[in-house]
Amino acid sequence: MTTIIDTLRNAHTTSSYLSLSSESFDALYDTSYQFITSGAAARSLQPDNLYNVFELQFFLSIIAGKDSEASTILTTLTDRFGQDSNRVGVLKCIYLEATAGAGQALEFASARPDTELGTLKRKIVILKSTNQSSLYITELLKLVDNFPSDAESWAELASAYLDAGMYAQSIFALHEVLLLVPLAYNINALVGETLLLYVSSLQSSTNTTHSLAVEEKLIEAVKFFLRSVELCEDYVRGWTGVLVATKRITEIKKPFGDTSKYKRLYDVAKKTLTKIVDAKDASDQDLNAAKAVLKNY
Amino acid sequence: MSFVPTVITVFSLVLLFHAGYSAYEFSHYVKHLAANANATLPVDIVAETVAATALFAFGQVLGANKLKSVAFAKWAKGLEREGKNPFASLEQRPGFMNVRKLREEYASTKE
Repeated sequence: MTTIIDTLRNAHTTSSYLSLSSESFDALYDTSYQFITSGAAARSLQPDNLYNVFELQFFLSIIAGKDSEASTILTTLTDRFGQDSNRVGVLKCIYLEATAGAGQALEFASARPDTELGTLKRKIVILKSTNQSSLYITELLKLVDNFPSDAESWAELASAYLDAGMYAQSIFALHEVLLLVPLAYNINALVGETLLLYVSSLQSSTNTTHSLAVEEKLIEAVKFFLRSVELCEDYVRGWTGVLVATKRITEIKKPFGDTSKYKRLYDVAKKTLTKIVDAKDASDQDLNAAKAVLKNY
Repeated sequence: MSFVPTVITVFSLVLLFHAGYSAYEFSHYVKHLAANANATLPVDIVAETVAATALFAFGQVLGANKLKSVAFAKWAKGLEREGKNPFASLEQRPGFMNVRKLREEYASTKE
């Protein structure tokens, strides 16, 4: 029982259901469905956790195309929390998007108060899906202007900039995320990865393999990767980043500054990753990634 | 709690109860029989109480769950191994989920 609760709570907080393979998704769906319909959820959970599980089940069923089930949960939650609840409004909007189409969903979202962050986000997403993606970044910028303390909006903005190939702006948005959530080690690693992409684009756009900007960006990338492994010991994503970035620094033929310490860092990263792979001290996915990177760098 | 700590804890509680009962009996003995009303508790009862308490504490510590690290980096490492990154939603961003696309993707895997 504890493991089921743990699994569901974890799926809810990490939103892992958005990127699961279809088998794991079905497994999660079955677990959640049985947990709720058998009555075990209502018996063993405190109200706050119980409604989180309901919310999770709503997302799972709406993604799986089980609309009537999603509707039932939505009704339950609406009865409990009322139409005015922010979170219920978001769920209702998602339900309309999925079943009734963008028009009705937009109408619903527009009728909600302007201070409701959740439905404002939905409005932007609907605009994006109706072929107005050029407006997406503009709308997101308005959103972070109004709600500068919402890390998720900044993270979405960073991702939108990244899709548009605007690396400097993407990195700026990620810096804002880090100001709000300084311990997010995955975002630290993401800044490093974005910097590496930035370097590649700088190199191809200027047709030079090396410049002062390139070297500075690589060194900055190493710093962010190191910060991520400082925050999370043996973080495979961080260490592979350190390995790749330091490798690229040591390959510079005529560096502007002293790069000898990056050679040493490269050795440390290689040693750590080899140790992790040998001891199988990570998830399978991480281990495969580490093996692939070790082979190529 | 595993077997050995449970045995130690139960034994120590029996011992403690025994010491308590002995002290109760002793108080009766002093009241009714002993000439010296100022008699103090015999040293073996005191020793038994102290031993039982120490044994109880030992059993509890032995049976305690594995300690979790208070260092953030070590704690995060454990979470990461189990795929429980507390900041993962910053990269998933459920508030901006494209529900129509997710539904289409899911439906296409079922064909």
